[in-house]
Formats: sequence, structure tokens, C-alpha cells
Amino acid sequence: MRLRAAVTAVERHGEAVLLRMKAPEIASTANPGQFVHVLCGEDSPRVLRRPYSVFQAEGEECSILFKVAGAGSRWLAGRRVGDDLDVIGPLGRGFRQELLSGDVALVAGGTGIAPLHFLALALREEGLECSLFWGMEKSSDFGSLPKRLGELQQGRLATMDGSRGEKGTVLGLLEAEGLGGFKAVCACGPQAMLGQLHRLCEKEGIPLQVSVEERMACGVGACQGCAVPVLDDPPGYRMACRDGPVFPASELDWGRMG
Amino acid sequence: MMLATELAGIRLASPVLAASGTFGRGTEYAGLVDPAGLGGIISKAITLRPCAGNPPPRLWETPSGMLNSVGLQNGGIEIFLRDDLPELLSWGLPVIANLAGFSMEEYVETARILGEAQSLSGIELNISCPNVKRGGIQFGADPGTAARLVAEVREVTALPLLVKLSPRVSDLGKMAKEVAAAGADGLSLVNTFPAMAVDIETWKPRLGAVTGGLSGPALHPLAVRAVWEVAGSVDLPILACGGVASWEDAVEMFLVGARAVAVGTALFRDPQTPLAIVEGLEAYLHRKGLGHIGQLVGRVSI
Repeated sequence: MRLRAAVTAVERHGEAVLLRMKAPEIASTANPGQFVHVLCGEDSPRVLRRPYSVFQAEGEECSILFKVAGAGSRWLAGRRVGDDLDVIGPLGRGFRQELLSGDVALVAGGTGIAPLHFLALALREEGLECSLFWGMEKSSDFGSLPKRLGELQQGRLATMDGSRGEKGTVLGLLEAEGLGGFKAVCACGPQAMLGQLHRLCEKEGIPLQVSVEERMACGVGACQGCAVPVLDDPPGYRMACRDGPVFPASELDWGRMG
Repeated sequence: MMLATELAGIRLASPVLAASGTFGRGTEYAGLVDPAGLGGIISKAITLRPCAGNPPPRLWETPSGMLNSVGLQNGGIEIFLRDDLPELLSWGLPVIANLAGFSMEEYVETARILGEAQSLSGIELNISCPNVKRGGIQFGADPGTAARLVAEVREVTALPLLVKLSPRVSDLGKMAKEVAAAGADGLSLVNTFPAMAVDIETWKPRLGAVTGGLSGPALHPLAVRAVWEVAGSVDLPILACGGVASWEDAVEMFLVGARAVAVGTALFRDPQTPLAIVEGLEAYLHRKGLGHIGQLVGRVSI
């Protein structure tokens, strides 16, 4: 579905931007892990939309969380309340919630928190227990967001500079705490983090679902650009936009990830 | 009716087509693209056997353009005819199959099988894909080789045959003439330009396949020149492709000799681009006091 979505709030949280938009048709149908494809500048030299995981969908609004990483996100961060966005969504396949029955560990790296936040809200609504592990460079990266999320579920932070929570990576935090008590893990973050987490979960025998980040063009599965290697026979690719961005980690060919 | 046209014997209600590789299997854009703007659909590249495609990353955005190195990922001719073609046909529009191969024999065999598909409106012979190590562009680099391939394919199919040319040849006019003499019914140009981008932090190429093809508005003036050159060399109808994102871009293509245009990269940004182009073309023709799109073709004044 494509629509004009009016920006209803642009909040700064440290270096991240939480942008809310009025998009009733998207908010009412989006599942955790799905994304919206946003046109960043209608008269600009940037030819492609930008995909953002849904951070929250409630009532008539949905929101996205992002850091300024280039010209597209810089444009988006400069929007004001009342501005219109050209948005396609919800797109992709989200977390397989039917596989989650409680005691879920949610593992986020940086802005990878976005789909996991949405998932945490959905799991809480179902009365399922989940714990959040969130890694970031430094405590100021996301302002007061970690505190807000801490109220949502049991939360543990890891910062590389030790300015809040445990010092080091979120993987280090997980290894120290142990994954033993969890029945499933859902994660989103840098690919290296997801790869390490996959090995950890494999060792512990805990099923892992990951939301992968890939550059996208069409966002709907037409252009075959956002290829993710899978363990098919013969080895092939699935599309992050249509078949994912959430995949069971055991289906991915981690040795061939780009 | 002012926009209805004919391309190599294929009747089109609109001169705006969906370019190869950008419209998927036909299901993806349902509800996002209005068929009212489209004159036809060109399928993604079809090969005889399934093709896995290139390793990721396959995309990189550049100023006013993008690089791709998809590498002909497709399920092969069997899957295309069984699963994809019915979906593409359900749009109620002419469907042209983009045919690629890795050897002369594969091209010919795939063309023969496609030729038996009654519901297809034509074949776009892809001799210009820059994203495979063998095949593809190899057949489009040398006029003699291209002509031999076209002649062999011509033998096995009666379907209208468009040949998609690479912009990367020293004499496009000569290439067009040879391909025309070998039996092509029309020409399609241009394919993406071979291109590359490098990550200056990691010193690695942005694309897993190292190089890719440039598409998008950055390509448009290069494509306009190519179409103009070819239109001046041969009498075959031309389907113009290359950075067409607006009705103004389309008008330019008609003026230098195109009979129809294909929209590719612009679909990713705005799936309603074909409809916007059609509306813009109609208004333009009215403003110029013209009754039919054909009155623009080749009218560039030099």
C-alpha cells in the first residue's frame, strides 16, 4: 500500500531520530519486523526509497527510528510536523511470532532496536515474557530511549565505552549472562553481530530469528537486488524485502553473507 | 488513442512499458502500479536453466542513479512459463520475454521454447547484460557475433524479435545495421552501462560482483544520444530505455527516434511513473496541437 503520511512528531533521542507519521492503513496492518519504504526527497538526485523497520504501530500512527547515515536519512531527519511523506508499506515478512511461546531474548545492536521494540510490545500484549539486550557505542547514542524501554521489559544494556550498563558488546553481555533460560532469540543489528549470535545460539540449541539489513531498490521483490544467501541446494538467494527481512538464522548461509 | 502505437508488430495501447528486470514476476507491483499507464511488460531476463545470480551486495545508489549486479537471477524457462508468465499476463497487457543466455545454443533453445508460448507478444533478445562473466554482453560487443546470434534465434521463432543493444560498442550504427540485416524486427536500447563504486573506508568494491550496471536519470542523456545515433542508421522501430523517469524524458526519446519507451529504475522510486508519463504525454500533445504520439518520432530538428 502506498500513501501520503503526515509527520506527527520528530523526536531526537541522542543521535537517533524517532519519527511518527499518520498512516492508519499501515499502522493497522503492520507486524513486528515489517518495514516501510520511504521516499526521502521528492525532487532529489536520490533515486531510491529508504527502508525502515517499524518501531511502533498504534492507533493511526506508526513510527520509525533511525540515525542520520547519509543524504536520505538527513533529509528525513529534517522533516517537521505536518510535512507529508510518500510511504509504501507495510512490506516484507516479519518475525514468526507463532514460533515464540515465551521466554524470548531480544537482542539489538544500535538502531536494530526498532523492530525488536515493536516485537516486545506485541509479545507483551500476548502476555509472553521477553528480555531485551541492547548494545550501543555509548549511552548518549539514544538519549532517554533505553530508560523508556527498560520500563517495557527487563532490559540490559551494553555500551562499548562502558558509559552505561556493561562495558563491551551485547554479545559479551549475553555470553556472560548465558542464554540458558530462553526458548527463543530474536535479533536485529550489524551483520557481524548477527553472525556471532547465530553461532552462540547454535551452540546452545536455541532457535534464532534475525532481521537482516540490506540495501533495497524496489522493496517489493521485483528487482532482486537485496539478495540474502540461503542454504538451498543448489545454493541460492532469497530477497530481504519480500522473503524477509526476518529469517530463521538456520536458513541463512552465513559463510556467503555479503 | 493518441498514444496507441505499434512496435515491431506488437500493438501497444500506451507507448510506456515496464523495463526488463524491474517488474519482477508481475505480482509484486499489484496495487502499486496502475495498469492504465502501461502499454506492456518486459519480463526479467530468462535463461534456459535456473540462474542463482551474483553474490551480495547487488545494489549501490549513486547520484541520480544506481548500480546493480543482480546477474540474471531467475528460475529458468520452465518456471517462467509455468509460474511467472500467467501472473504477468493477468495484467491484461502484452508481455515481452527478455531472453538471456550463456552460449549460442542456450539462447537458441530458450528462444525456441519461448516461441511456442502463444500468449507471448515478443522476445527482447538480451545481448547486453553487463553483469555476467560469460554470455550476455559478449554477444553484444561484436557486430558479427551479435548478427550470428540474431540469425540463429530468428530461425526458431516467429515472435516479434527486439534486440537489446549494449551502449558499450565502438560503432552503434554498424551494430544496429548488422542486427537488422540478421532479422531483428526492432531494437531496444540501452542496457545499463558497466560501472563501479568503491567503499573508501574498507577499500572494497561496493558490489559483491565488483562491477555492475548503471541505471537511472544519470544515464538518460547517454541513452538519448545512443537512440539518436541508431535511429539515424537503421529503419527498425526502437524501444528506448535509459533513465526515463518523466514525460519530458519520454518526449526526448520520441524526438530522437524512439517508437516506445521503457521505464525501469524510476518504478522503484515511484511505481506510478508510467501513468504520470502517459498523462504528461497527452497534455503535451494537446499543447503542441498534435493528434498522435507518432508525430513526434524522429522529429528532432538539427
